[in-house]
Amino acid sequence: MTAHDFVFGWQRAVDPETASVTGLYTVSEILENGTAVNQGELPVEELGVKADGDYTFVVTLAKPVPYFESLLVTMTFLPQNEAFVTEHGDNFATSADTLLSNGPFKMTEWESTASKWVMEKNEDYWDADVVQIEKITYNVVKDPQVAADLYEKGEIDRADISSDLVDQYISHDDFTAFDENALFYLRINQTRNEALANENVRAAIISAFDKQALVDSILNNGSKVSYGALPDNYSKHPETDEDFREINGKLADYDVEAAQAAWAKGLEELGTDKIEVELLADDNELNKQMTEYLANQLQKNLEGLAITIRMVPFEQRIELDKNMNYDLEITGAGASYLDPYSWLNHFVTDGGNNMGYSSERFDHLIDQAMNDLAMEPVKRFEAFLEAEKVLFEESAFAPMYQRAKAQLVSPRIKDAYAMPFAKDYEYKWASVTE
Amino acid sequence: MEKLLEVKDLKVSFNTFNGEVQAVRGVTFDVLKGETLAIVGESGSGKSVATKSIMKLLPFPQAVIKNGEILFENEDLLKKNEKEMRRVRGKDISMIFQDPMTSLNPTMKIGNQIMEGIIEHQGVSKSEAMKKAIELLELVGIPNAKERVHQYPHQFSGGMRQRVVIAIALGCNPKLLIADEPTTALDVTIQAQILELMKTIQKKTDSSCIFITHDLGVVANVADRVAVMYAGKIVEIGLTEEIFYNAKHPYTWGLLGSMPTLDAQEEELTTIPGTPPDLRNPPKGDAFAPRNAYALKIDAEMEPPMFKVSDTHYAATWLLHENAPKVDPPPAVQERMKGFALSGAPEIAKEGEQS
Amino acid sequence: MVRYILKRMMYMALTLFLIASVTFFLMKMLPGSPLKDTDDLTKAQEEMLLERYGLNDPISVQYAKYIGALVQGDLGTSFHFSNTPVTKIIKDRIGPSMQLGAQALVLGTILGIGLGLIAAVFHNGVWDYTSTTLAVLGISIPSFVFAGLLQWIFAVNLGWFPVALWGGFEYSILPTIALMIFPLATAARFTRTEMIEVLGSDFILTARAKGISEYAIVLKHGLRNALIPLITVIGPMAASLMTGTLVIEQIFAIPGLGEQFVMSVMVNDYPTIMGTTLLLAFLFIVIILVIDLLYGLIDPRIRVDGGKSS
Repeated sequence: MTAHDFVFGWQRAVDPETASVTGLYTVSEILENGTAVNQGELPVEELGVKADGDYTFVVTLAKPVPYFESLLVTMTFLPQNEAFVTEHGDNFATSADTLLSNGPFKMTEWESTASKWVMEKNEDYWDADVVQIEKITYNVVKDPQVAADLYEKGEIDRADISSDLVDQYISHDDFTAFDENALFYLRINQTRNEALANENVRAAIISAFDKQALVDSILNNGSKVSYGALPDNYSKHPETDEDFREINGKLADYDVEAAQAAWAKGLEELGTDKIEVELLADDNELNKQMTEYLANQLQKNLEGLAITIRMVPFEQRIELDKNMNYDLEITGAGASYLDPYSWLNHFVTDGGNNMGYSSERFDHLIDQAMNDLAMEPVKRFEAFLEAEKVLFEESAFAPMYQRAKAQLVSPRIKDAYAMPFAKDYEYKWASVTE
Repeated sequence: MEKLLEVKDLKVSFNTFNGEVQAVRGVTFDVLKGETLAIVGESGSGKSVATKSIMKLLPFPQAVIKNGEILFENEDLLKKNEKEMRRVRGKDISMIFQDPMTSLNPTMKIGNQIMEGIIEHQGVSKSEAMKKAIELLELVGIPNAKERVHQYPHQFSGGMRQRVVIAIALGCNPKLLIADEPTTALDVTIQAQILELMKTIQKKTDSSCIFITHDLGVVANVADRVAVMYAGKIVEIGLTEEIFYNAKHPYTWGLLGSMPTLDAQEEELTTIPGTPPDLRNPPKGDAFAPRNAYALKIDAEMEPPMFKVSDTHYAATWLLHENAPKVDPPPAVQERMKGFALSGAPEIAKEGEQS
Repeated sequence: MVRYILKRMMYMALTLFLIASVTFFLMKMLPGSPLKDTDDLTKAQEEMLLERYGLNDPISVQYAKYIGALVQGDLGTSFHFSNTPVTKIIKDRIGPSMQLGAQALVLGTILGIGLGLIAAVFHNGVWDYTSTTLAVLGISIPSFVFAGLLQWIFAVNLGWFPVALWGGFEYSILPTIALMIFPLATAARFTRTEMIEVLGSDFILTARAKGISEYAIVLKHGLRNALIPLITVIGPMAASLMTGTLVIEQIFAIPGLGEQFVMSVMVNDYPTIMGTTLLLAFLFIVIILVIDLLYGLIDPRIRVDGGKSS
């Protein structure tokens, strides 16, 4: 592997011909000339990456990027071998044969249509001595009960436990749950329903449902309440090392009185005593309960509110969301890299929040954090803190919960680490005891 | 002549949802070697059931043989089990049925259907059996036997099919052939052919034949002796001439009277009024009494026994009792009988005689 | 015979054309778009992709292109799996489904005929009532109920078979059993009814009068005639197998065509949906043709070219 592989890889990510989905906002904005190349205004060679000899890779950033290092391990920034990629053209990475690996494992046995794939230890890996696992086999099993059954029979070593199975397996010896970097919240669309354009109405909705009860009874799998736009333990203050979430605290919490007060004001401002709202969600077991619960709570605490529930298949929900054809929507978000910006970026005007949310204050703070304050970590961090506060002063959306992943994991597996972003697991140091 | 088959006091009933139907209520007759016995009667008289009992081909367990002996070559068939019966069926006794359109397996070549019985009973090889099958087809008058042996039933006409059925029955040279209304479903011209065929074959093979029919015309053609059955019993039995020239039972008169003949004078055919009795509850007297213009009071009380008319002729009617009034058959019947006697009848076949 | 087959093939082509068209237009009416993660695409990128997949052309053009490609045996490229032709997807996935389908059809039919035969011969006895009840249950209860039950009892609890996934032959046993229950029940009921009727026919009496063994009567004379109508039922049985695999494959996590099909529908992968639908339709039509020809072979009264009857 050489520096040229990085050059090629990054160029490819930015190249508009490739139409990379992630290339746009991760790579393009960050590298010198990135946006220009991506828009087709400059040729790819003008991108701020070059190889200085075979083993030195030089990157020129468009602006200071404090979280640059964490970006390097994400998918879009990985090197690609030019000869190999060109040779396979459109077929690149469609099967195990058309994929190269320079990591601890290589992919054997995989076709795009397969429901089973295998990774084996890569002897050419620079740190191969550390790698102890010889072979990892993955199986796609759609039915979570079947996965659990397979686990019980010892045919697989790890199975994800869906929320409806948690009660059944929570007392199992091998049951574990850990925090995922996935926040679920209610999007509030300000463009379709006049009532939701009213800040007080939104504020009321945000505080009118009991989140702890939701997490305890409906989820009951280790998930916890979300009080803001960032989860716990994600980002630390550069100086004091305090956690972002702890500093800002509970920006959105269950408070019936406050909710009802805001509601009353909102109703008055709108000159009505009845508001009808539609709640959109993916059609799955969990959401059946979730939506009923939410509707129940909101209608109970906010008099005059009528909620209709609409459940649709995932693809359809995405479509409706994109077209902003909803009132309230249960949706989830994750982070792509280690920086508060990852959680806050789409609340920027036209940033893809699909809520019609647009705040000059917010935009300004984010802009500062990303540009002017890029080299000043403390001020930058504080700008983000401020920005998150703005979101809730303006009642942008209603946080619900941070998801925990429930699993049955075989105790014979040691040192397999779940990763906060970029990939699910790291097996480099993992081993299996018999 | 020797007796080939002796049926003694056969009683057969059926257990149906509606009760027990007494289909055969005490039937006795013999079949001699080389002779053709015709059994005549209307539908429901029990003639089919009686003969099927000989082969034990009735639907068990609904059918119950309540009484009787059937002696074939001095062995009681009724005492044989199913396995033993199978050795008799198709080999010593064969049976052919009424409807040639449905009597053959539509998915099996007729050659195979003929060969089946032969192979089963005689244990010969397939090629041997095939030769025999072709011979049989020629015997029954099927042209191009060598090709047609490989054809399917639907490729034959009705008359041809019946010939095939006969060929099957003759496969193992049975001693007794039971023919259950074999020509009823055929048109008249074909009927004649088939009857001719059967007579020829019988002469050749010297086998006996029980011929069931409801058509007296046919009887006159083929039978040596005739048994007339009504409501599960034989009411009159005798040589064919005796029955045609000198019938004694009113039912037989009725049958004769209702035969259409060319030299009949009357404009209308006589019919026998009424219908046969319900055999779930057979009457205690003479079953024919309700329809009998000549019924005596005693007919309602007691069944008449068989009265002897001659060594070979018997009739079960109180009219033959010494104390009974002398009764002659109705004029139409008398005319017919005279006509038969004079003109030699519609071909009454006698042994050895050609007509 | 040849003329007949040619004529039938013409009809088959026409039918397939109709099915392709109907499927095409139905697909277009479904909500949702095949572009995944549309949240993160810019307008420009979206346009590019739509252009690439030909989704911007007017419907009539898309239709014409589709039919044109179809005639050449090109089922298009999947929207979901980049650059993978639909034919490849089908080829990769069809193995397990075919195996399951064939096993279930053959086993189910044979066992069903056997069951029906016993029921008919021991008509109105204990055997008859038992097998009839079982058959009715088999037809009425959906296959996924059986699948779940079998899995629970024999795999999870007794551990005699693998719970799920696909590997050696033993992995196919439970799914095959679940899948074959419907054909088995259908064949059993059908055979029983036909046998009882046939056994009451005149020619059976003729056969009995020949003194041949009961076995020969039931099997050679009876069954051969009773089975002829059974061939017609193979059509609906095949159809039920095709739909049955959709569910069974999900439950047993089998990488077959059924499972793939369901996923394609979920993600609006139009080409794969249409390709698979057409394939199944084609298979079905071929089966019907085979059935009609089989009829001619087995029943001498029906010869498709008219035959000789005197």
